[in-house]
Amino acid sequence: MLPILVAEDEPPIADLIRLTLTGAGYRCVVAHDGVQAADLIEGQEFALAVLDIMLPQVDGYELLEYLQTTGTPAIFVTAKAAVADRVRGLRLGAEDYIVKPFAPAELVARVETVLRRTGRGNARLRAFDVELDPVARRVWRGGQEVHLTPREFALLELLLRNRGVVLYRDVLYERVWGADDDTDTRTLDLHIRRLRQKLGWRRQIRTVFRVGYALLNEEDLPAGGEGTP
Amino acid sequence: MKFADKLTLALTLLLAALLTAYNIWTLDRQFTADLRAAAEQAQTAWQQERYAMQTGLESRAGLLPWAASYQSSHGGQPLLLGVFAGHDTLYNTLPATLGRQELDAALDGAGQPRVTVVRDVNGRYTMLAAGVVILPDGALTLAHGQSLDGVWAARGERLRTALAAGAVLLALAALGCRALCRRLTRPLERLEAASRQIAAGDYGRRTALHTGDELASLSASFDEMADAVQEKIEQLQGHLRERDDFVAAFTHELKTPITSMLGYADLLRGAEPTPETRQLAAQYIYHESQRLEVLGGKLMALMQLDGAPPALAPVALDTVLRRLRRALPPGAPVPELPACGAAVLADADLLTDLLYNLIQNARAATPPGGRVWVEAAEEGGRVRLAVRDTGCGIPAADLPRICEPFYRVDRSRARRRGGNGLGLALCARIAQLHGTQLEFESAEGRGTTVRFALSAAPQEVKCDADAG
Repeated sequence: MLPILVAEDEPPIADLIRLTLTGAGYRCVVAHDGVQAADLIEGQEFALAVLDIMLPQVDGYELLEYLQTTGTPAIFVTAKAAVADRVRGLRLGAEDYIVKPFAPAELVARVETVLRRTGRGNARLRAFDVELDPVARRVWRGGQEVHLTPREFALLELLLRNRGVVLYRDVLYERVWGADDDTDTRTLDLHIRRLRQKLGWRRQIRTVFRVGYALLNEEDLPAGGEGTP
Repeated sequence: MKFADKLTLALTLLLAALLTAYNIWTLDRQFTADLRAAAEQAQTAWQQERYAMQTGLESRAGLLPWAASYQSSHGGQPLLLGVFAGHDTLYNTLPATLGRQELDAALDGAGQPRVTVVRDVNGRYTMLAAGVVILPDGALTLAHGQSLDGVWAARGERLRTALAAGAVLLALAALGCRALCRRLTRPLERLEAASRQIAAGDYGRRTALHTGDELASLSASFDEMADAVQEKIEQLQGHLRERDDFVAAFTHELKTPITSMLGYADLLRGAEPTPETRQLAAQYIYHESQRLEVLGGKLMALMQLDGAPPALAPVALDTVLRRLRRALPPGAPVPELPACGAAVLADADLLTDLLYNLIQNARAATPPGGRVWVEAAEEGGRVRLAVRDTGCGIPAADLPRICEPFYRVDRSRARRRGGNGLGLALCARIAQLHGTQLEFESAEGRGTTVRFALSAAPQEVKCDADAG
């Protein structure tokens, strides 16, 4: 898949976007000013551009014009929250508009939606014989569709996106059930158990006692634990 | 009711009153003149009749034939005559409607010829000229009557004419008045329209009437008031805009550190990160929090300066420079500070802050091989201070705005060296509190000079401008 261009002059934000998108499985190229970004646009093709509006030398609005000649979709990331600014950005042809401060998960979701809408992303997430389409919200196991509840789906999506990484229990819970929900976190264990059943993933989802869960990479799976009998 | 209409009404009423009075007076005069003429006529006729009687009559016995011949010789309308002896009527062609009483009253005491006006029962008036005629066989009373119908009719006619003409005149006068009043009060309408428009927010509206009267001076003072209002409003709007700009700039300034802190914290808390990610995230969180902390401090300082102005006291510049030497962080270029014996009226802490900020700005703009130095010179009760450098300079287009909060010539450069965009705003405010202002002189690529002047403290000290 083509890389995503990140044009952002503030190093902390540029790194944050890069880390977030890399974590979600995308390749990123970062430009720290408008000229650098324009050069990159000229030199190679991108699946998508994430642009800060207030860039030195060449601003985001101008970059958007360059991008439109190549047909690359763009998302603005900016501190300007005024409606007029948003309308201007969208009217110029930006696909979406993210206002700082933003949550990394929101960025990923929006990037994914734009890629999907413009037919540019292979937005399906895969692990073992399971395939998940985050936009259509459907899951297949070995080509056969599996029906999941919304919570189960959200949980599976998080595990797939952070494959190989241990997700902490309380954060996992907060992201799926929301910060305000005060149901027992044992609900989380219940859902994990059901996911394992529905997908035949006994060992693929690893429990780290008192810490959280992780979806293993193929190479980390202990021998002999392949699927259900 | 409109003022013009009120004026018109008042003027018309006044005119009507005057016209009526005039008409009454003239009508009365004419009527009186008519009556007098009628009286004279009656008297003349009576004289003639008396003469004819005295010459034509020898005794009262021949009265009736004489009267008949006299009437016929006269021709036309029969004359109204009455001849009385005491209370006996000898001959009478006077109107029968004349009451005996009125007749008696008219004839009473008629030793001398006299003229009276008698009203009959029908309300018609007759003029009677009566007097005594001496005949050889005694005295008779001769009365000559003359109808006053004509006089009364003329009076009625004149009254009708006067009323009709008056009405037409008044109507014309009212129309004229109305046009005139409208014209005269038009400036008032303009004033009113202008004040309405100003009230509706069009503060640039003026009246500028040049009628050369009180309205012109009212218009002038109205315009003056509008000027004052407009100025005040613009001032207020300016302040509001400044504040809005400041808040907008400030929130914008907060967005980057907050986005970083939230984002990296979220990365860290969600899952077990790789050591590199953790290191990077922690670094950013630390530095961005620090930036916020510094920004908060600067903002507090700026807000405190907006409160009560500091007390200015004599401060020896040497003390300030000594403090600066201790406070400035080491590194190239090393700032050159003069030895100076002058004393100024200042708040020592604020002055130190001001110079510290200016020197640090100069150092940031100057490559390690360049020079940063401070100059001080006493001149006519003022001590002139300048912070100069041989750094990159400031583009002329940016110079007017560099003291605005959060304004930066080069945003990413400023961030890399930890600038928060408030330093010069703070400096400018401190300068202002010391009754002076910062003057920037800059040439791109050659360097920048910032100057300001402080009041010298009343104290005899010499100042040498040597760099130290």
